[in-house]
Amino acid sequence: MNQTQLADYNLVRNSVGLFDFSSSTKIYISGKESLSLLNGLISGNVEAMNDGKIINSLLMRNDGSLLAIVWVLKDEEQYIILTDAEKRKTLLEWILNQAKEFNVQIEDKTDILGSMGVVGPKGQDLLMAVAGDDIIGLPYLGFEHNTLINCLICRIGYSGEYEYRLIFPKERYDELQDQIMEKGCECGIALCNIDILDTLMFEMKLVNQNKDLLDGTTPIQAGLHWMINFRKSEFMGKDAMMKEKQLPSKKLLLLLSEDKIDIPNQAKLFIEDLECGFVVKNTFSPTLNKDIFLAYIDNRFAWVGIHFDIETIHQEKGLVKTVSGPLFITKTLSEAASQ
Amino acid sequence: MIMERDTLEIALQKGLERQEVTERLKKVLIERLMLPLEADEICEDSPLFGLGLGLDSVDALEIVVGVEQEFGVSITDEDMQAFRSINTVVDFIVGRPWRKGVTQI
Repeated sequence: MNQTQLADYNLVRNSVGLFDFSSSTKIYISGKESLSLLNGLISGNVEAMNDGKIINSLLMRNDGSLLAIVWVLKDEEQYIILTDAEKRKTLLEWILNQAKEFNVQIEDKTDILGSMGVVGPKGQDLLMAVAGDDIIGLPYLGFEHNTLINCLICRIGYSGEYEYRLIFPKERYDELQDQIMEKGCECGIALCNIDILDTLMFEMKLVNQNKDLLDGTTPIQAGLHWMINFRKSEFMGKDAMMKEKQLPSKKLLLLLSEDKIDIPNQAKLFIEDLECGFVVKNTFSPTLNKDIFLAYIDNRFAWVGIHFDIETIHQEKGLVKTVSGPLFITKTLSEAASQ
Repeated sequence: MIMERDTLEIALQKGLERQEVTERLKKVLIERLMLPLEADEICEDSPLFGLGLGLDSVDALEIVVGVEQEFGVSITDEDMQAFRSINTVVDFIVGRPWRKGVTQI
């Protein structure tokens, strides 16, 4: 982690940072059969959603392989799908293809809407100063059409801190950024690089769909069970999920090392001479002051508390141990609990 | 924390012991909270509150009572900070003295 990344990390974990999410995907779906379409494509329970609510869910192919992880907003007669910029083309093509027989209208508003994120333990106070005191009542996985600053404000995210996503016509970006930076001046707010969010979600044991899910990895192996409504009668990929959930071949776990370890790409894990898994991602956690790893591990050994030898770039193997996620309680949660 | 290498035998044993506590905890949650879930539909690292299982503060009290009764542990308000996922609750349980039917892992 370089100095700039560390500064962004400390800002978001201790105060508040601003992120430009304008390139993130924003697809609007409306029309008579929008619920039918989405309920068949998305693994979560779209039917039970009330206005102003958000779910975090998956789209899968019939074979159970993952297409995209999405946030779905129910906004009266329309649904808004938010996901990473990298998934835009794949997701849009998929939805358009599946929607051919449905009476729906699909609009990709990615290029006409701007978006920014306010993230950190001081995020709620800052947003109240910008968008009004009612922000305090906005629950996690809720959104509102804010009339004070005239934009959509969603409370979503994976960092474990207060995380608000603002969505608005693109031409208003500078105006809104100026307002937020001015009100956030005392907190030391700064524009942060979006890459640091990967470390923040890593610490919360939440999966980055662009980095942590190798080709062929299933949502069950990645631990995304909670994004799936297993009781829903039908959705794409359901049969594959129901078969696999009983005995996944491998699971994704967090590991720690006590020492600094330099590892190769997809470093292997061993117990004695048995290869048991491999690392998909590693980074340094400033909060824990340790290196952390994310690895797929053979189901028999995919439990917290087990030590593994890990391949290094040197002759000797290093030693790591599986640990529970999330790795710690964030400042946001800790302060909320004490109120 | 001093790390020592596990043998295959020890690793398998640790896994089985952890699995046993985990399955008991999941059963407590499913029954007490009447969750429409089977045990293999709950990932051990899924958040309990907010994202994940989406439980609330009322559910939290039920979890406390259920864990105290099932495992014979005593839980304070401060201990509740540990209750972030199935795995962190299991960490709490196996780390307590005088727990019912739980081997120290």
